[in-house]
Amino acid sequence: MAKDVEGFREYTAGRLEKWRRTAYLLSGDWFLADDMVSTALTGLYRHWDRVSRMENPDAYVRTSMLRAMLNERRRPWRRERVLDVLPERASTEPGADGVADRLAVVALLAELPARRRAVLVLRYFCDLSVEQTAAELGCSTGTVKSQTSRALEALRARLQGAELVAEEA
Amino acid sequence: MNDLPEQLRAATDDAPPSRIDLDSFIAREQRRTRLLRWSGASAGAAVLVAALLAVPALYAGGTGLTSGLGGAACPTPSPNPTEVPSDGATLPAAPSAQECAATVARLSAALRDVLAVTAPDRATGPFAGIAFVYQPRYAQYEADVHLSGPGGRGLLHVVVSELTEDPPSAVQVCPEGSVGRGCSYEVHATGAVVFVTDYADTRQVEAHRADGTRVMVAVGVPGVAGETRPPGAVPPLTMAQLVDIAEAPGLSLFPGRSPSARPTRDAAVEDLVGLFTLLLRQKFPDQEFASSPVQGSAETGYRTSVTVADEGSVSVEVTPACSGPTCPAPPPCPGPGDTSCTVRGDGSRVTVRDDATTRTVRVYTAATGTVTLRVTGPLVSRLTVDHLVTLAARLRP
Repeated sequence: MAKDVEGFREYTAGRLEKWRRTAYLLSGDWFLADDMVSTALTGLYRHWDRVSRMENPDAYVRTSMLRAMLNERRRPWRRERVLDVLPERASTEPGADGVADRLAVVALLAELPARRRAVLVLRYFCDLSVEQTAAELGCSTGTVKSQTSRALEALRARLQGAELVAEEA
Repeated sequence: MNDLPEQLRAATDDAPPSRIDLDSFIAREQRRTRLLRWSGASAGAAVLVAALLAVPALYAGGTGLTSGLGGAACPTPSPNPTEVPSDGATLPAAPSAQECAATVARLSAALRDVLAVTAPDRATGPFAGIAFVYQPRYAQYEADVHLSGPGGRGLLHVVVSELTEDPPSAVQVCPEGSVGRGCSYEVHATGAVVFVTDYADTRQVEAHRADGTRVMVAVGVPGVAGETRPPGAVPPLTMAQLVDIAEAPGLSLFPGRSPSARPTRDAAVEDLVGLFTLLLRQKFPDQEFASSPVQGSAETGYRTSVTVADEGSVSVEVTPACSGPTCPAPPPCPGPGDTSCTVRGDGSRVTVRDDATTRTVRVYTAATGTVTLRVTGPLVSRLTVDHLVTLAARLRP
């Protein structure tokens, strides 16, 4: 049976930008985001016949990107680098033009452990429910709730007491 | 603007143009599918077709798309400044197009050879379709191979690159408690350092060879997406097969090169810095660290320090025990300026010196030596004397 290439093209074209943005929030780097989306696209294309019949092919793409991100953290000996001084970090001071705000939120996300970052992105950027987030991360709803709570707590602490509005339940 | 969903949306407002061209991607995937189909029909013809298709691809320019996209095997580096690695790592110089093409051909043949011997029945497609591509962003050659095994299908990912740093120490790769439970670290007779990690959804082997080549081989476990591997979930390759691939002589960037004269590795130094960092990591799992190079020697002792972002720093000094008539007398208990000194049941002395911004804990044992930990900055309020004594006990030589 011939692959439904036009169906793939139509489905993907309308979602590519959203996937890139999700990947950017997960990785903090537009180049890596493109790599993550490329990897996910390859899997999606090769399994399109099966995935297109799924209720939510988006979940397949997000799971591919999450795996790519979570696998990166599994090299503790690569994360620890011997440096004499800590590298400069992005400022978290708000700016008049909003650019600093945008950089700040990405910098704050990058400081979170990978799974907590993923939970925040899935819930507050992809608008997934606790149950959907748990399904995509392969963990329990209780884990999602506790990770969300800790991630928000960490963000609030880094924002030094500023209000951070986010529905936790 | 403190609404998190709104902040996340705003953070992605200035997205740069995508490097992904959907039309090109689909065209490449269609070419690849046709190639595999033809290969299946006639292995001999497929080799010819693969060669014909590969030659122009090897020399084509590109924008650095991933191997998963089936892009050019040797894309030319893009002038895009975002290609600089975000962690500041130093990358080896990119090979010329000719060097890259030759290396891709050689590595691809070597991978096909080793798979044909160690896992002849695992590849889902013909071996002729197996090929490396060069990733300029990471200065490494990568290949993906779809495999099938008793537990289902899984992707084999192989990375070959030039070593730019010494291999990690055993304690860095296999933190305490993980040895024997999915983690192993060995130095082979060839001089290669080989470490193996078995995660729930991935099985991974990394070989740091004496000739300066790093080979990383990982295979996915079918049907596993979470942090635990259910009973019955089996990867398509065993650890032994992965090690065979990681140590395949042909998968080298420097065939024929003599093993480099590496400086003698000081296991004590590696263990000290690795253990010190890991113990602090357990205490501060979310913080960014920077460590100073270790100074000293086995005779005089070692010292290093770690700076924890926004929190201060912790330095450690490990002094070996001294025996003989010329050894200095044990330190007084308490010494001048010390807040307290406790002699414990095992004969060791724990001395504490405390002020508003600095805390120093020294554990002296006649038989093993002295460990001194000094904390400065806000960390003083987070690392209690008990924490530091426990840390010192673990670092005792």
